[in-house]
Amino acid sequence: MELKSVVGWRRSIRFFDPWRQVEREKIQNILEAIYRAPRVLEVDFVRVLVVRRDRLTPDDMQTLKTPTTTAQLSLAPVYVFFFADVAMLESAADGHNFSELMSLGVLNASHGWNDQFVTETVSPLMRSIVDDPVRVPLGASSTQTVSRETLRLARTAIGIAQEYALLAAVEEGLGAQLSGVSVNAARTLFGIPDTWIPSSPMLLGYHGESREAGGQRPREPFEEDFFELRHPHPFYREPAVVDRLTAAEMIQSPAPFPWRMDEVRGLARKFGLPE
Amino acid sequence: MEFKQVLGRQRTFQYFLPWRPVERDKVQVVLEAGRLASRAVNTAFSKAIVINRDSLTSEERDRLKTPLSATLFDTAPVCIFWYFDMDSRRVAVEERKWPTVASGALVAIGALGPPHGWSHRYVQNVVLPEVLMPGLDAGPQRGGNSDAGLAMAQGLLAAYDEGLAACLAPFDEAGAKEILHAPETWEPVMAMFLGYPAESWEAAGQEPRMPFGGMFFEDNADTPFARDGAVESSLRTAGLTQRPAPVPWRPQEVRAVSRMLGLSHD
Amino acid sequence: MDIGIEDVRSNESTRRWFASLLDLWGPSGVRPGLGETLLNFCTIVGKSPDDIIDECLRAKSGGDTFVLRTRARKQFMEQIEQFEAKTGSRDTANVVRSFFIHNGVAMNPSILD
Repeated sequence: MELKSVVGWRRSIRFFDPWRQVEREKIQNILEAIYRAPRVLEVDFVRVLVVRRDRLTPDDMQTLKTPTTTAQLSLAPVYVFFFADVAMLESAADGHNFSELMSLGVLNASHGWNDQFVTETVSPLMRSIVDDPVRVPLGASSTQTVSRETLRLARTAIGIAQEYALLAAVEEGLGAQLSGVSVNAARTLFGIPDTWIPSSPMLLGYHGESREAGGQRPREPFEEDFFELRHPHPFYREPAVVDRLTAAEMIQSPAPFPWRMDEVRGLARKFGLPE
Repeated sequence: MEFKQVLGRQRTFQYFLPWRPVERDKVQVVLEAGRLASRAVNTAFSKAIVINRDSLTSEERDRLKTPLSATLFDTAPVCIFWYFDMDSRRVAVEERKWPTVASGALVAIGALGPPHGWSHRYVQNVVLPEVLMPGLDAGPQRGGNSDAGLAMAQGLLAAYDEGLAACLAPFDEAGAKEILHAPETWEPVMAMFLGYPAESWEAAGQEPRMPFGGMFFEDNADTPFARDGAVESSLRTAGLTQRPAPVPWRPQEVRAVSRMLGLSHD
Repeated sequence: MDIGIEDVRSNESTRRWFASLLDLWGPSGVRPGLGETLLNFCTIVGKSPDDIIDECLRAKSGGDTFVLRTRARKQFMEQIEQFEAKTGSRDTANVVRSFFIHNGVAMNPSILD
């Protein structure tokens, strides 16, 4: 699929056909996409865990659920959990990842890169992030702390990984949604190390609803988000570009489609859910 | 471009053609892509400011630089400063002028509804006070936001799809506040440098990653995801996996491009 | 508990439910028999519709916002499952779940095979 079409067809899918398994090859394609995502400060933060719903016991499922994600968790055959291992920034603080990129010709003297720069500037910079005195607890019940700056970078890394995963899922012809689970339950169930900070997992499966899912989700005006030269001077939104993106399927018909509520009612009956 | 080829194009581009402007409509495409990215509670956590290098003085560029991005500010024709708007949740909850979970929009359009346990009353009387409002009293909270990273990443892919090279690197927050008038309630994500590449599309080659089995797991955090070689092969054919760094001609390319751009290559 | 269909229909929570169904699904959302099904459930649990919702949602000061009482909600979810087993009907039990959901008490049953 063309990238713009993939972007346009991505939306949160909340109804999956629970009886239809996701082929392992498709899951690996999604992981391989994440594998090629850019790294934040060249740190290997990202960790991804794939869990198939049918390998969980009913008790496991119960502990993962929240009041409003019960149905999605019961419908999606695959969960993809994203984490950032904050300890990786400390391991990378000697700058060895940058040194590797220098040896491969990625980073060069033309841009100021050399061994002395890594040792005397880059490594101390990374160390200062690790050791920043402004700290937050690693988890709700954890006594370990991490610098808030490390957390900022780690969350950015998770977001990048989630993005690659969501689009790769769409390209594989699958539905996906970043959803909520009990993160403490997930930590215990799957043996997640203390230094792995969690984020919303991606629920994955074949569409139980139409791929339109009622239409592209609404957004605030473009000019609320994007600026040029100086804030708050808005970036002018050229209509011809919008037309081009519409033709490319990146911008699509907005929700709600006139038949959406009929579809939702039909889906409620399909899966035995309340109206 | 085909999706997998766009992903395969990703690398740390460093060399841009400073004299070749980036068409404005391509920059808009990057922003449009970021705007359509997935976002929790349909709230706009991601914001961005676009700057053409030529609109800045050299002193202003110096104020924006960090050690990891210095030369990029001097050579890339366009820079998009991506931010996490720390105040976006409060705006969504208190002002409710844009379509978010807080405004009831997702129930109204049939994205969330009774089959999933949602109703307008649930949003207004439970979700708002128990999920969205707690913590707002503490004011904007720093510490990053994955949705802001996610939006930036979607913009990055759109940049490659538009035939642009791109590179993510940190920028100086205080300098950006002063020069770009970035609001106090915005926390930096990354700067995205855009331009036409002075180096080949292969650049140094596809960059290394830690072993696959150290990053991807199945069933639990101790079991690496078993990687099927046949899938890897198919992804090479599809263009996701490309020639790894270092490509054999890289030193000559670096010297030549550095000369072209007036950069020291020693 | 002695409660009749008119009592059920006149409870604020029932009226709220019907109004929400109408708003979301249109006139076909308020189909015949809903009140009777709710009455059936209320008789079994010995509580009026308003009492049921009050047990699940504790009003905060001001009365516009509520705290979900998860224990009460869980108990009612179990009672609905028993109701479903007794009536032999997922549709019938879902009527009761719909009453809760439209009153702001989120819940889901298992997915039907």
